[in-house]
Amino acid sequence: MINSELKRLQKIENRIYQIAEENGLKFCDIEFDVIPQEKMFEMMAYGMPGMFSNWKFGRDYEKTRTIYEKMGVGLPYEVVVNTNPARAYLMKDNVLALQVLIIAHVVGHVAFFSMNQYHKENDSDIASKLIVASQRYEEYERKYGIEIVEATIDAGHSIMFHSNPWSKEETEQEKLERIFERIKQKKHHKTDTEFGDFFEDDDSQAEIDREKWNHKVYMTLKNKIPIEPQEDILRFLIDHSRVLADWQKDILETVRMIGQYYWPNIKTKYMNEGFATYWHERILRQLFRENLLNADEHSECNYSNSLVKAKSPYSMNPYLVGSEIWEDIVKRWDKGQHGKEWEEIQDFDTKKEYDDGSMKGHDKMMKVLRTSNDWMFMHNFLTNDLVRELKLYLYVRKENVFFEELVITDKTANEIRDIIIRSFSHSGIPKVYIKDGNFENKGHLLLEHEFIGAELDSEYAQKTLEHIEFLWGDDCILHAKLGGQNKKYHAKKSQLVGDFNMEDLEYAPTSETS
Amino acid sequence: MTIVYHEDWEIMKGLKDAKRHQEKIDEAIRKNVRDVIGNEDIITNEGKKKVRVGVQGLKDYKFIYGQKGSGGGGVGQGDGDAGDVIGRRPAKGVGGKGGLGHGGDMEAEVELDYILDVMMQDLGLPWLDPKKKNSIEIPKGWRFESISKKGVYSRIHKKRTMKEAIKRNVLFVQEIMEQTGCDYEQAGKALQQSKGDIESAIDLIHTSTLDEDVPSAGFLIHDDDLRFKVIDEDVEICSKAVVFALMDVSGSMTADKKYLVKSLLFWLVNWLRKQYEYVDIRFIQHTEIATEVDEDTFFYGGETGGTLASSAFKKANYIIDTEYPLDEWNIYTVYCSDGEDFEPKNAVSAIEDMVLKKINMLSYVEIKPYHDLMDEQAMYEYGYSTLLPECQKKWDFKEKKIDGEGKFWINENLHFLLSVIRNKKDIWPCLQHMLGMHTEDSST
Repeated sequence: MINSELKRLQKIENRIYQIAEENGLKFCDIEFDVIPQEKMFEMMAYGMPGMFSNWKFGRDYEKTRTIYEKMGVGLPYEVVVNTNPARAYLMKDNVLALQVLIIAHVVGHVAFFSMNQYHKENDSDIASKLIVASQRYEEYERKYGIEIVEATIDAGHSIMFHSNPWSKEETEQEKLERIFERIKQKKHHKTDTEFGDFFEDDDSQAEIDREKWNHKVYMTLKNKIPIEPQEDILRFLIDHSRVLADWQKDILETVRMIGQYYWPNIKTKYMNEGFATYWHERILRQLFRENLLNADEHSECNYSNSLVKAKSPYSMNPYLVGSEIWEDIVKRWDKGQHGKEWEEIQDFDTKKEYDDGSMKGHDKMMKVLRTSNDWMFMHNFLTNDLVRELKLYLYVRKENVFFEELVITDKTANEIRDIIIRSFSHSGIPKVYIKDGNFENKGHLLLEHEFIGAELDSEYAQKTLEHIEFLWGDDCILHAKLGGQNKKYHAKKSQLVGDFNMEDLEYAPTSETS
Repeated sequence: MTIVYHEDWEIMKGLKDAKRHQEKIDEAIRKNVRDVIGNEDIITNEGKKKVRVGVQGLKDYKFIYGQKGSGGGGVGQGDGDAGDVIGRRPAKGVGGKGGLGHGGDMEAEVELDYILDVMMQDLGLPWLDPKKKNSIEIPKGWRFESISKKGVYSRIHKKRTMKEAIKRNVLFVQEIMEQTGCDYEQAGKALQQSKGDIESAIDLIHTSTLDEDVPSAGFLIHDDDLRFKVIDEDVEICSKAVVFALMDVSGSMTADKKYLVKSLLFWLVNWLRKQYEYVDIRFIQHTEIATEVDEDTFFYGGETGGTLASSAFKKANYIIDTEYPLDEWNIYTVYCSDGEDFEPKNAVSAIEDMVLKKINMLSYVEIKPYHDLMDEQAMYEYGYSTLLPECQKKWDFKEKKIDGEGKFWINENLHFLLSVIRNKKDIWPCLQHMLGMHTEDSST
């Protein structure tokens, strides 16, 4: 990049911040690094500077590179790391117009991070923690061999998103007390209604019985692992597995931390990308009006923007769908096209042309931005009209002898909308609980999938269970539904890895994580 | 708020991890040869040393919702009305999606030889000790092999001649020094002045008639030192094999069945090419009559008409008799059909003619995808095949259990194999069946 160009870009950058602030966006400092394309692909694959080594990132790196080679230049790649100051990357060989688009887009993201409630408690120090961690892992690789380090990371990755960052952090003792109290309450409640008579009198024997009963319940609870079904699978394995060495626990803690870091992003992907797209479009228009971008550059931006917002026949594009929903919110609240009164207008044209001049669009946007996640966003603002406008459809797979075809169904806008909303519940991540850490008194681990309308993919479920088995070191059983029936997945104590596990891990030195 | 421009970024992990991923893919391919060999990308890549396998990259497993719940579909976006097809790919079993799927985001490049090497660990040559395989000597030209003392000057071996001369000179000089007690220089001069004759050289010194003023000039080449090259006729031991690909091309042999045939023959031929220096393939297709055709017609052409397998076997027998002497050629015959034959008795007698020649292998492969079968019962009894039961009536076959959904029988003494395969997953078991390490019964 030529110096004069860099200077011009910095000037535009400052104006972008001003425009964003004038529009009420709040955001922390952003540092942009200009990097060569290969480095960009690496950043996109690893997601964060300092991320540790793993073949999955290598695969993604290779994929991005292949796509880039096929599609050629012009794709606006962006990587933003939600730290403070936020860190983002610009690709060296991109033309200035594209850099401007990305800067404007990134400002939208950082504003989103700063203002959305789900990103409030984000670990702003994660990048530096990762740099130190990946150095440790290289040491582990040298010491214990790449296979076992890889197996540990892979197993961790497989259940990375089963650690919800918003669940209460409780010690085992606190949990025990809480549940014990709850059971006692229930018992008392029962005595009040059903057997009240028996316990009415202040008989000392009854008191003793009660004490006995309490003690029994308490001890049963104490011996129960986990005390109640536990959603945080990684936490459970780190705390209770008998085969994990300390260095493995170190890896798993980091993986868990990363999963928690990404959770807010998963929960708000459509809102976030839509918001950033909404604002980069407006900022670019403003820059063009102020002559900071010439006509050629502006059309260059428009071309890239059209790539960003391209429709995909097989999936929803979050940039497009997200930004269109934001546009719709602003439009409708500017004109007062919401609420019961408006809904009840019968005449189509009157309803469409309705405008009370309330101009509340921006306020509404900021309110939704602060409080919502994707599920709420879709539930509240993806209207049937929008489904039709965006030409969303539902397709199914049909198989005949020779072909497997994807065919568009004749589902109505309302049905499509319902299906989309349902796919956002729990951010599309199935809920799997640890039920019993000593199933059938054999030391086996019992897990259960909470069925809320969709079944697990059986191949993936089996393989994931085998990952869990590697960390647990003994048989793992998963209860789930398959084809409408109850299915018991079983990961047997693996011969190959299991043996390796028992001999090598138990005696592994434990002073690594000091 | 800044834009920082760095010149010296290095790729830290991307390349290393990409390499690791590639290693894992290679390993996966190694472990899944049976999936890879059914991949049509490979089959259509004839003549090339490397094959590209489309791979999705390795999966990272996690709990996800299955395809069943959403009917294998999803939400898409764009112009399109109900009923429009937005995507299409070959159904499972016809080719296409396998463990390492077709048309992935990435491509793994695999050496064909490498796959064959992996296959080699499980395959052999049927009924053959490789040393015993038929081979012939082919004249290759001439070559220099040995050295002789006699010959014509045009074929003189200069280096060897000089070597001999030096050797002899040194020996003579030492001998003269020993006999006369003179020094090295004198001995050399004496030898030179006596023109290489050792006795007169000794005389020269004894009689003191050596002319000391003549300078020493190296050594002399004697007739005895001359060495000549000898040329020999060069021959090469060459092992040859011919594959007779026989196929029923009547209407019932659909494209997907032919695909399986092609896949099978591709690997068989490539495998044999590793084993023999020279491999010939003859394609014979038949309906009621048999014709010899080129490869493209064989796999992509189509005919209508009845089905008489006997015609193809007769044609092949004729070609063997006229063009491929059995003591020179290793002969492999593969007959592919869906089993329907109008005159199975005639077919069996034509097959018998071939069996009696005792060729290296005769393999009958029946291709029966599931959708051909009308009901469960037919599935187990192969009710639509007329040829297979006829063969089994005529000769004794032993059933062989191999993985997969195919069925396999063998008659070791006749070098005769029967297979029924259903989809591309059965290609590998079928190859194992055909090229397994069979041993000939000692009684024959």
